[in-house]
Amino acid sequence: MGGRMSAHELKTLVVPALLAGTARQPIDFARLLGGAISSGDPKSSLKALVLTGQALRFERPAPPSEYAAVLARNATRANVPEALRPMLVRLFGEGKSGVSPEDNLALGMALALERGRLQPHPFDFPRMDGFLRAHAERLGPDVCAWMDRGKASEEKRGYFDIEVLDDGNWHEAMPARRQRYIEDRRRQDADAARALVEAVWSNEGADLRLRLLQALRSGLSSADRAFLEGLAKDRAPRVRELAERYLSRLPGPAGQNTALKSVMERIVRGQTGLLRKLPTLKLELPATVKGDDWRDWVARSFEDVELEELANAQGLQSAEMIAAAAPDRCLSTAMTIMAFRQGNPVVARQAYEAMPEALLWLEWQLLQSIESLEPKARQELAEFVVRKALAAGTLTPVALAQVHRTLNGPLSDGLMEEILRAPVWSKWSAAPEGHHLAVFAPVAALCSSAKRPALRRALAEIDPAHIRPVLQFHDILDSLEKVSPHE
Amino acid sequence: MVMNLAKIEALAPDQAALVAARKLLKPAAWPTLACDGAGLIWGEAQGSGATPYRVVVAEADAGYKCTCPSRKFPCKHSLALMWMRAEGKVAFAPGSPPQWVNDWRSRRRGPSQGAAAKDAAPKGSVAKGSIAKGSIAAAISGGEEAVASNPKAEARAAAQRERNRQDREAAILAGLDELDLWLSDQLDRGIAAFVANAAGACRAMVQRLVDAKASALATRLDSLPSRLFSLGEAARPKAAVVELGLFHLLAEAYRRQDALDPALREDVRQMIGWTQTREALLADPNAMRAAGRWHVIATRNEVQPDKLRRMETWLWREGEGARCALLLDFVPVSVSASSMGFMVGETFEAELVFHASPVPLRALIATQTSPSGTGEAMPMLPEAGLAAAWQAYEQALGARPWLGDWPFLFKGARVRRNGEALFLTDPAEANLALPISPDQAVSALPLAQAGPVDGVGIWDGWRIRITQAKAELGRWVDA
Repeated sequence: MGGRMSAHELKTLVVPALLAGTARQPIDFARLLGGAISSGDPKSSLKALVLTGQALRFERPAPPSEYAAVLARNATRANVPEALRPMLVRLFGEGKSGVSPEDNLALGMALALERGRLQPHPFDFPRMDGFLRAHAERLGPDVCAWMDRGKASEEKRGYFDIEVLDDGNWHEAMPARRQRYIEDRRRQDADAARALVEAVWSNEGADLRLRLLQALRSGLSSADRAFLEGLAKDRAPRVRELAERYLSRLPGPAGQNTALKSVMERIVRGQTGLLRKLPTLKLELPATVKGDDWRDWVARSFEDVELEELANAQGLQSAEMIAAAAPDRCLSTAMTIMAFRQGNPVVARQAYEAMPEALLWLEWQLLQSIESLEPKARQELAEFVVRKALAAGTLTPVALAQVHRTLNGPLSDGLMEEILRAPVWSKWSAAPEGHHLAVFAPVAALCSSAKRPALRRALAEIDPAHIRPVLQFHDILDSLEKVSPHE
Repeated sequence: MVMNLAKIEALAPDQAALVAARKLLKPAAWPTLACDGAGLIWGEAQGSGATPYRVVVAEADAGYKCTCPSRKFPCKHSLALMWMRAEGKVAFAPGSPPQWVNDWRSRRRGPSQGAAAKDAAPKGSVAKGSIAKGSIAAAISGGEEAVASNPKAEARAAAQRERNRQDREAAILAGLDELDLWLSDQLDRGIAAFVANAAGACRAMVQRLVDAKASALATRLDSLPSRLFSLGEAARPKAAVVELGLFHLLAEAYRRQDALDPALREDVRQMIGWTQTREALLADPNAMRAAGRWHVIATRNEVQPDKLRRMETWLWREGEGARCALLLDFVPVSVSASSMGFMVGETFEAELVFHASPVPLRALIATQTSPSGTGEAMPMLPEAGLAAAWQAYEQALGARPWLGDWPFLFKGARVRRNGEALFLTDPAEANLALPISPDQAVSALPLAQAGPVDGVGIWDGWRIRITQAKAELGRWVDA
């Protein structure tokens, strides 16, 4: 081979020889390289190595045969302004100054972005993985698509961020919004809500089927029987189990609420009063339930029992039953949990007031039980619980954190003002330095924009170094509210 | 704006240090807080002992010193001082630096030292004024000054230095001969076999090169196995051919150095292990200098096999006479400083002096005439696409065959995806697709949806690492 050798020839002729080893395949590089190396050069193989290596360095990398299609961005959410990007990443990103994605401030920010129909900047998605993962559904379809990027194509689905849902488009919204829509529809028209769920049921994954079934919890009736019986063969065990529980609560010969039957067996009825006989109810705990275990037992045993159906089974009005159970600590607690879950503020207040003692641990239970109520009732009952705790001087930041998770929004301005003026505020301000953030983050997250100046004034007493994330959170919210027309 | 929270976060060794620093942001904890109005701030932090810790920070390059015994660098006191300065809520009393601050300033080798020394020393050349009083080289030259008063001693010392140099030259040449033998052995066995046992094959030769005082070559060979294994399996044999070929090329170039162009000759000697001290480079009247406003376009740090952290700062001077520069720093891993003083996006006015090379890239800051300021905007990039950047790379490679990392500045490129892999492509040239570093597979993914991007990346011969980019959607910076 004479003349100059091309890079391609070097690659095809010399590289295989170098890879295999010249001891096995002795090669005359002088002949192969056509004069570039003199024959008899003791370093011919080394020179061939250098020439080949340099030729390879000038070679452009081979492009792939095809590229993946570019996924279009969903334009329903605006990105946060450029100036806010660093602040958002610093506070909610993966860096050294970030807060936990589960923190109240993170939830507060996700809610604020949802309200403002904004999303973090897509270029910041990789730096905010934890935050996006925890609040994807509130942050818009682009974020959902980002979180789904690792899923197989058949598992992915396009999400749409529709501002107003109706019966025609609800199934295109993100899962949490779908669940909320069905809950609302169920309260308005139970049959229509079930029909909507039935229409999309076969197309949904197990997680979403469970969510939709949970949304049908209120207003169960015989009309749901056929649908629920059809779920006996559902692929997801959690869905089958929940459907069975719902079925057991339906009236009629087939429906036999085992939970109701079981608690009825443990309620002992009596009478009190000399002139006017009034019923009394007492709960007999199992012998195995000792000490404070009764709390869990009560919460678990009454989970599938509704206040109205228990009252019916006892042959009493709800109010009468609550009064009859009042002297019994365990049963009155159960009544309160059921009353809050039912969502009638009057009955719920009566049940709470009827308890012989205020139980600190119950706050969390009550707040959890009202999560699926419609927003107005949820707000009213949550604020009732907060006010009670405030009056008793037992309000804790942990309870406020739960209130925030329950309400997914701010407290009323009046209640926030009460908190800022309450003696408990001074106690929180005097908390050890390291605890300030945990104490004030839920308050900051629960504060409306109108009360934010008042909260800032109150926080001015605290060393800013200890509540820096709270102050940064407020700064971001202030800026967001200026740019978002939805706030 | 000199200090900002993002920079302080980047400097902090860990989150705990930031949290600890946050607790020190009370003026009450600082009996003294002062500044000289020229980029130097200092303070005394009241610790648990009777004597407060003395902390000084140079704002220009985020250099710092604290007398506390912490093993974290920067310590919480240094971070807190920077933080208070960045926030601007605490007043720093203007004043002249006390003696302990001046002592530190005269000892350090940071970029602002040149200016400081210039102030302190009588008028002279910048390079002369930039010589660090406290450095080893300065100590040696100080000793030489004493010797200079004795001509006989000076002659003896010069003769000794020459003997040492000749000994080292001989040792290196012997080492290079052994390297050739070793390379021939690898070729006999086959590159495929070498790739399968690269670490074992290199170990003894690395030691031999260390003994032969070819330290830079030894470090390069030591890191070869890890560089190979960072590539995909299919690319390793080809990479091994390239890398091993470079070793022989360097060895041959060193043997024939007298026939080389002076810049190439100096470059080869540095590649083998000869070093030029900072002081010598600053004092070299023939060294290339470039002054102007420099943008930090990329920063990178990695731990070398010799337990040194190699910290790179890539700079770009835009406009007429546009060029790139690379600042290199090495610190022991035990010092734990994981970030250099500069961040991508910063700019500063400075004069750089370059190490001799046919493709001058590595440089030192001779004088920094303005503190570094943060810039959120991209530097003004040349009006050239990715294909033009590739051509510039080929030219540089032709001039300097052992060229290592090379900066790519491009406009109108597109990031495209094939499976998990990302590619930087030129829409005008279908056959140009640079693989993007796999560790950016997630962080650079949003760029794939961003349309045309202008940006900067560092090409290592196999993959490009995008360091910043700008698209219609906004600015993207490597995390």
